[in-house]
Amino acid sequence: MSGRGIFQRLADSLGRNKSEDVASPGDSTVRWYPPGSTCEVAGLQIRSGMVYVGRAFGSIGPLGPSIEPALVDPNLPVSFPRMGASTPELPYWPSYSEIESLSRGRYLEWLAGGRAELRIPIGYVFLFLYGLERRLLYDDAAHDAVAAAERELLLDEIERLLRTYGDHASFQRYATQLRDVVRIRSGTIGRFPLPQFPPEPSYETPLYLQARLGRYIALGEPIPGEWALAWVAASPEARLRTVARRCPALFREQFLRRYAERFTEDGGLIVRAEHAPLTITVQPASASFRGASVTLEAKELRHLGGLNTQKQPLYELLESVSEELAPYSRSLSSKSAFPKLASLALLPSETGRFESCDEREAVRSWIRAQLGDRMLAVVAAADLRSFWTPLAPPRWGAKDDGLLIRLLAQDGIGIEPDVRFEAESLADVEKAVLFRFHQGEEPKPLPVFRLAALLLHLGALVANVEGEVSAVEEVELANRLESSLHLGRPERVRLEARMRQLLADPPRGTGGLKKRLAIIDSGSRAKLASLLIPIAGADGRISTPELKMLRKIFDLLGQPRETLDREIQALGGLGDGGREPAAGGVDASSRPEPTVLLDPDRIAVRLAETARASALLASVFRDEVDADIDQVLEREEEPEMIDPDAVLGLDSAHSALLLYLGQRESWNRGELERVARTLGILLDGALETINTAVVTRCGTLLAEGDDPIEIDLETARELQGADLRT
Amino acid sequence: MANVSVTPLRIRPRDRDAILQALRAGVVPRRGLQHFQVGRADELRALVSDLATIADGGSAVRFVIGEYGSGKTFFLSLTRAIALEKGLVVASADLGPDRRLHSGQGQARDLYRDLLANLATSTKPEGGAVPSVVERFVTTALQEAQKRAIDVDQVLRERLDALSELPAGYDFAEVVRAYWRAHDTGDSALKSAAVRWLRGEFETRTDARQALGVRSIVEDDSIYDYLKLLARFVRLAGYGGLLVTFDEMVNLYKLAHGRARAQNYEQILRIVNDALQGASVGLGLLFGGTPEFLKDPRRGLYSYEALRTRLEPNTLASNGLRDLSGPVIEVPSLTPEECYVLLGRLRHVHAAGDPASYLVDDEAIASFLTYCHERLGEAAYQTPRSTIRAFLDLLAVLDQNPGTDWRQLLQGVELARDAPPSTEPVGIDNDSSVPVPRALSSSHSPGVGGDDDLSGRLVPPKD
Repeated sequence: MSGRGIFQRLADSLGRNKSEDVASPGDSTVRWYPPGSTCEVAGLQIRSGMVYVGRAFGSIGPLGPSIEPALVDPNLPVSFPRMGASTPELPYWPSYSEIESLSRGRYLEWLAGGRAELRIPIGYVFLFLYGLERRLLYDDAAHDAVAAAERELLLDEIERLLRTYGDHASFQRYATQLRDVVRIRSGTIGRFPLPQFPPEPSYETPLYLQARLGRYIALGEPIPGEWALAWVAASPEARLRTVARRCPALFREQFLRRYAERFTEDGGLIVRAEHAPLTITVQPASASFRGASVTLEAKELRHLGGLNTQKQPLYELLESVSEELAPYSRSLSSKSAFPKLASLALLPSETGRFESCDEREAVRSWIRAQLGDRMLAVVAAADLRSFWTPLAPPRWGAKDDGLLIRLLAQDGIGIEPDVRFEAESLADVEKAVLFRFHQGEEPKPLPVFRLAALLLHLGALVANVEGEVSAVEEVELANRLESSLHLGRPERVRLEARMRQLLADPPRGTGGLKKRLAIIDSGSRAKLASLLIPIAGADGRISTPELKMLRKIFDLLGQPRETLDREIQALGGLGDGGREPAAGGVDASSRPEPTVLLDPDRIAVRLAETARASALLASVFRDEVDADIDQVLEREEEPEMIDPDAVLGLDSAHSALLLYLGQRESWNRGELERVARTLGILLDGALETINTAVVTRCGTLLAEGDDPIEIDLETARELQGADLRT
Repeated sequence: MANVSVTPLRIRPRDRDAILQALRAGVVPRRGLQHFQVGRADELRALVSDLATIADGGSAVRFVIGEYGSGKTFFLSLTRAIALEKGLVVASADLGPDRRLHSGQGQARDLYRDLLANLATSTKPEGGAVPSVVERFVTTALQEAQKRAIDVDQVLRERLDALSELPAGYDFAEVVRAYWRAHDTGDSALKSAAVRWLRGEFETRTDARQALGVRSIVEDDSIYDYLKLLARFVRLAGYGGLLVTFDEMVNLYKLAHGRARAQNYEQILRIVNDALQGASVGLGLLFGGTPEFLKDPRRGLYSYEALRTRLEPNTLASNGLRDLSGPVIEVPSLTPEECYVLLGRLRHVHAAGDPASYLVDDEAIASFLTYCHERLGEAAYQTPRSTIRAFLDLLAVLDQNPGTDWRQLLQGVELARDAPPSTEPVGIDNDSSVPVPRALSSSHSPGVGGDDDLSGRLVPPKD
């Protein structure tokens, strides 16, 4: 890594070499206490060091305050808050020398107590961070005054602070930035932890991610799935859908799986970039750096900008994985009362079987017991149903069938009847068949399969008309299937299961058949009809009931009865003479038409007018959903603002208040009135101005309520994460 | 059946929830109205252009007239939302037995208090924006003072000078300056006195003189003057102007006492004259009422000849032709087709704008409407409150029970007949010296006594 030269610029930009200011143990006025050393201030022992103590120590940048904010001057008055008293808040850019004596006491207590107290206002933690920034970005980076061992200890401390106070968005951002810059500069980016998923919302790709990815890109190496996911998830162009936040582990797993499938050849996406090395401009939190620019150029790394085309496959992957998991995710939403098993059924098949719950294990062990080593088993449909909570209890609907079937399919178990293949619902049969199939061997509902299934159904209907299917008929049924239709293995397996089911629980009437027959063409109808006669006659005779049933079916199929008679004759007049023709009994009694109320033409007119009104309204109400701050920011890219502290075009006092508000979810009015007074503005007017600016940009209000005043932290975080200051 | 779809605005979850919640409770939602507006493009355009006129420093007045349940209140609310979006300040109030434009016993002042309590800006859409408006004004003065390096009070004087030409303008300016002084010196009692004065909450002039050193207070006969002052003031504070909406105007029609009615109509005449002559600056007024309030020759606005001549429609515009340049906008009751489109849009709102999540298809909507029509007759779409509520209930059930078929639910849908309340004259009239108990007037809430009385939902269905 080669960052040093550039950090040198920092020293140069100040126009003088301030290295004499670098605190060293030998410095008589100011001393930096390295990690592990102990110093004493106001009678308190600060055992772990990491503070500057002394006096007359200036800021780093020319515009910084005259005294270094992080400097603990032991000569300043300190008082200690009473036990149980609330901790005074600190101003937005605190400085040890400027805060009240009570705050100083509280700060020293916090330092002495090991900096672990959770309830301390974040301002105190920032004050401490300022010192680390100075040590790491100035003493170390610009003056090489810090040993590698100390640097690692300071980085450990930053990680510890992040674990303790990382919930605070602004702090999280500054501390992470500091850690990342130091790691990049010291060439230890290999020590970054694996990226977390989902990432913290942020406008910029986090530095450590830029560094890791930048190296893969610089070297032309494939990007490992974890980092590819982190990259695309952190891209402002990608929108992580709810599913990614609701089931992050599952999402990550599925993404990695699809990523590996997609890039099997190279072992990952390879991105090539010729352009510029990674240049990082650091904005420290400390006011001490004001007016000084801190820039790091890492030659071995590559800038990530402008790679959208090469990144495209990742967006597509992100989107398709979201699609895949969306139904499952939605079923978990608090609004839906989806039974657990039904949710699992919505998972993609290869993922689904790894997710489990007690109910699922119960079904599994029951199925194992039923099937044993066999490929197929007949079970009582009611037993199977008893494991399942219907979506709309107590009624069992077609969706229940579908989901239960999907659930078992994840384990390679099929069910017959299967509603997807024109069969009845599990709720309407007494017996069901479970069977094993191999992954990827699920038959598609092809026309030929439908035809076969119908033939089975009709065959079972005819054969069973006398209340029992004879063994010969059964064999004939199976034979017909084998010989007449050209089916693949998965289809045959399923058809066999279907046949078992139909034989175990034969259909009794022709109800519902008309609809199912309607979908087949006339050629197939004739074929179906002719195939049925041998089945009926397999036992050597066609009984009156069989003949009646055949006639009924012929009617349904729209086949002339003469054909039936002719074919029976051809078989050798097996009939025992059915005299009277049993006229087709299925009569679709059409429902009465509803009262005609709506005039389609007039609806069209109304729709057109509504569309006009909508367009008008759309021009008034900006599209404020998901107010896309990123887009807003893109428009802002040309820097026009003169005031370095200005946010959203507000003046500095309003900007400062805006940033201050974002520190907490709720403020009591008194606190904010004091802050506003300090800034020389009126609270209500300022909130009105800030809200107007924020609503214009983000479509949401930042602050609501009178007392307490509630802050929409999401918006605040967006504004902070986006860093609108430059 | 034509598809129920219109290229829609995107819908925020917060809007969606607010819309569904309000409609299921039978009231007009406070936000997201643009998502289920049906038709009325010309009327909307007329109003949007009015708002532009107001923001331009002009004036406007409109009467939104429609039958019970036809969507007047909806229309007023939508206009209000548009106005906020356009950077206007909005004040709204409902008239009632104890809320009038003119009176001798505090009812007009109470109406003014309602208006100011509901004073809203885009960032405070729920009302209560008086301090925000004042402070925004003071802040701009503060900034100017810093820039010019002069005393803030001097800037305030200069800027508020524009108000002094109006009645009570001098005192108004004094009170705003007092607010600044109070802030500057940390005098919270003075600050709250200033806000109370602006809100019309001082009972006597003596109190006001003691607290703020001003001679006048908001009184029954001066509320319109104060509204005009307020309109100028909000413009000084950087807003476009002031829109004032009055709903439930039928309450004036209901006044039994002829003289009281006439005095209120005179006030309206004054407002209409000012608006038509452009005498008020940055001020728009919007009145919502039923046809009898407008047209009844004995007790409606038309009973007042001067108003009738100004408000009567252009005689050329009839038979489907409309002239929206006059002050009256008639909102006809919904036709079955409009109701159909409306339900389609509500389905869209319910699905949070995602057609893939629609819970019912177009056919279901048509069947549903037919079902309602069979039970409620024309009321099913003319006063669609019950229909809407039942439809949203249906969607809610479908949403919570995936896989349920709407056809099975349809037969179980219960519809309450939504009956218009009486328009009989109010028996008690204050001018005939029977005082309204204070408790009643302070518990005034929108809708009570109006033509949109929600008690309609409690009426059991007729067999």
